[in-house]
Amino acid sequence: MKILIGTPIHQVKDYAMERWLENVSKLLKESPTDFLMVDNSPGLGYVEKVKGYCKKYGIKNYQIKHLDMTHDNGADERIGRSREVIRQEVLTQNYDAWFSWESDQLIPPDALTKLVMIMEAGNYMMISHNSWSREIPTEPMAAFGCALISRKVLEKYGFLLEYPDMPNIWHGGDVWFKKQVIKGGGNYVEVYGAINPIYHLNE
Amino acid sequence: MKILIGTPINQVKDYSMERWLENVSRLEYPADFLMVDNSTGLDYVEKVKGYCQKYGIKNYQIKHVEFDPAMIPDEKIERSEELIRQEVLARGYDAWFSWECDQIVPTNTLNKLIEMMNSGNFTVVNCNSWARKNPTENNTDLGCVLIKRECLEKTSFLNNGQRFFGNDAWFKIRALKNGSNYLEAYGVINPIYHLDG
Repeated sequence: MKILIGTPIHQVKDYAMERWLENVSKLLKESPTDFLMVDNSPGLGYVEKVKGYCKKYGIKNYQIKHLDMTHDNGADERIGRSREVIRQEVLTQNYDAWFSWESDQLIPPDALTKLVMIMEAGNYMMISHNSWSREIPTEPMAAFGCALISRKVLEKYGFLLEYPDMPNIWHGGDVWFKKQVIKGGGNYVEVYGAINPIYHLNE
Repeated sequence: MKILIGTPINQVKDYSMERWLENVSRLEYPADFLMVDNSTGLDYVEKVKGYCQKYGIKNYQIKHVEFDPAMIPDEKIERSEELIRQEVLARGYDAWFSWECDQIVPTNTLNKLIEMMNSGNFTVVNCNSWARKNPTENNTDLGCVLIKRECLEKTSFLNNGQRFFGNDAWFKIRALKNGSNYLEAYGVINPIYHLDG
């Protein structure tokens, strides 16, 4: 299965970025995978900082695209537009799936292997694995923090509000995406407690 | 896998009971079947026995529990689920198929839940329906769920004096804390009809 690790990044997550990239480097050793970050910070300064982290942890097979937001309407829009850039990369470069891995989640190096096994065993279109909520550590949540999304659902559904049948707010884009998958006759699963530990870093 | 279908029932669900028992009679996977009736009095037990006879269901038990009529439905349900849990533990079942009496499912549902459980060695597999009052809202309470014995050994339905409302969400959190894992599946088993009165 040809997979792209794709992650929107922003300088507000710098508190987690170095630890996360160290974690990425360990996962890449176990599961060699292409890796795309979409930086939506203001200006190009943060891209240079992230390149420095990648060099420090020996990550070579990566791309960073910078998405300059003319009007910054908040994190939800930045993330939604960055996800769309990743989606287009999956579609145009013939990946079979997108591993959506947020830059504040530390996971075991075999996490991607496990997600692939579950997806193939159940022929699921999408798997979200839970972490615990960053601000409420007793609340489990399964969104796009650690999720494997097959190409076939990305072919049908996107992340931009400009697309047909989309809501009129950016907030809750991942929830909307899942609802569309089901309405279109697809399926997805949320998995809790199968991959341990997952640390959801808070500032 | 030795499975118990276990369901709390109450006379308020009579609007769906006959259709549900017809659905039970068609389920493909062979399993034992326990209903825990928490209606007021014993009359409803007799009515349900009549439905079972009509649809040829013979391998079943109905236990009746009499609660204070003022008790809220959530508490009646949780206490009934605890009786089912005890039956699973005492009688050597490998898993409990929690199947609410207002959900009509495909006849191969239990086979599919077992397949999903085996797909990742999961201890709980929960399949969504749509919320009864809001058909656009996903619903993953204990309406169509397969729970392994090892999870039930560690996690009960009695919540040590906390409120009963939303206890299925609490069950999930306690199960995770006790080391279980959990699969919630959306759109994998279709159609599931969640009947409203």
